[in-house]
Amino acid sequence: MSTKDRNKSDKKTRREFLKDSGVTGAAAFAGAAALLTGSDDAEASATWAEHFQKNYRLMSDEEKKEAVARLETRYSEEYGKKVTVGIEPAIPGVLFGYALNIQKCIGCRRCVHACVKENNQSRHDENGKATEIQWIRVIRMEKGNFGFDKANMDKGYPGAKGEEYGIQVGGNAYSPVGTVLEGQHYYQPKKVPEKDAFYFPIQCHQCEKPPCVKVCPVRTTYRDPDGVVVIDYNWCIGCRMCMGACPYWARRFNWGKPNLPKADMNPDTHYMGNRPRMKGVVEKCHFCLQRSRKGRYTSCVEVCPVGARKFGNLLDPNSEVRKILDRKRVFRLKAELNTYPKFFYFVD
Amino acid sequence: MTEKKDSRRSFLKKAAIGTVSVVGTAAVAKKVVDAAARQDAGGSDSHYLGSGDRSLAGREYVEMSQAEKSSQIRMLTDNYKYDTV
Repeated sequence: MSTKDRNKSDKKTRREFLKDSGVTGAAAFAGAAALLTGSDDAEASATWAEHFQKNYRLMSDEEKKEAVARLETRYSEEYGKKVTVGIEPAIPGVLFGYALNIQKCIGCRRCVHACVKENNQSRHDENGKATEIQWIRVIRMEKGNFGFDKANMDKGYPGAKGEEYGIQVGGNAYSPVGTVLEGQHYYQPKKVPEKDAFYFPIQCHQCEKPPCVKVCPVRTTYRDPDGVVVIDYNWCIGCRMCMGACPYWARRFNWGKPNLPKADMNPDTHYMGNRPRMKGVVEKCHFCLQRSRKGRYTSCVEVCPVGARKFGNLLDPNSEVRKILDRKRVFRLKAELNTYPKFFYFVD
Repeated sequence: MTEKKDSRRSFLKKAAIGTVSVVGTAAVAKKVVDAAARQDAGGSDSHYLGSGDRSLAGREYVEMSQAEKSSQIRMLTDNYKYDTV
């Protein structure tokens, strides 16, 4: 065989080239067609559309309506009930604040479970594939580890004696202030409250200067005008930077597909709040937006059997939370970090 | 005929002895260094933990003063009014 003949046999003929190209083109066209029109179930079409969805803050009213309609259709189909997705904006003249009486808290964790139910959090799976996500963490602490130290209040920075302005953080380099969080998270007593313990519930503190917002690389988490730090789940890339930044351990990550049984799903949802989340996104307490923006109490406030939880408008001097701030002995968790939490702890 | 000291057997013997001695010395040296380091680390750790525990035990929750409360409310109100966050 001559070199010329061999080269000729290695090369494709024009006919073969056109044939291959035709087959490849047809396959690509068929694939694209299948992706675009092949599936007409609500989840597929919503997921496809969500890929091209803007950040919530950049959406026009029309786009918001479309997004909500897509989600409502999808959730209704998925959970077999009429699901509504609210987009109620912050109420003008309202800045939400929260106060918790740690003297009253009995550590029953009713708030934890009410929160899970209300906010469509992932539940335990019998096969062990999913664990329950809880936004409220109640820590059991030994009595005696707690006390107020008025004597040191003027020894910290920035204010010294006679300088009343500014945020007083108390403590100093030799006697730091703050909180001791080495309590037990997983206490399982037969009966609460226990004689030698007190309980310290922690959830998102809705900081006025939230570190989680500062670190978010895609600006999917931000503070709304009513002070609630919200998350646009569709834009969360799951980097978990916010979890690292949060000093209150308030954020949770969906490591797997959330397990939300149809029967347990709360159909009254909010776009920024308790709508079902997906795998790979971060979530946290949002003061039950689906309730609070309609003038209702959060579920944890409602369920607390001892009335330890108070919630209200910090801008209203007559609100419960403002009255507590005015009249009770109040402290904040990790105040020295200057995150300015709107979650206050108090004692009578 | 090759001299005994230059034989292959002799070379291998020397190499084996050399290897064993180097490895042995290294092992002993590592033991000594590790033991010293562990003792040191243990000491500094316990010292650190001791002082940490002490400082933690000394921590206290600081009650907000009336001035601090007013300042906080003023700051929150201003932030709301002027959207300065």
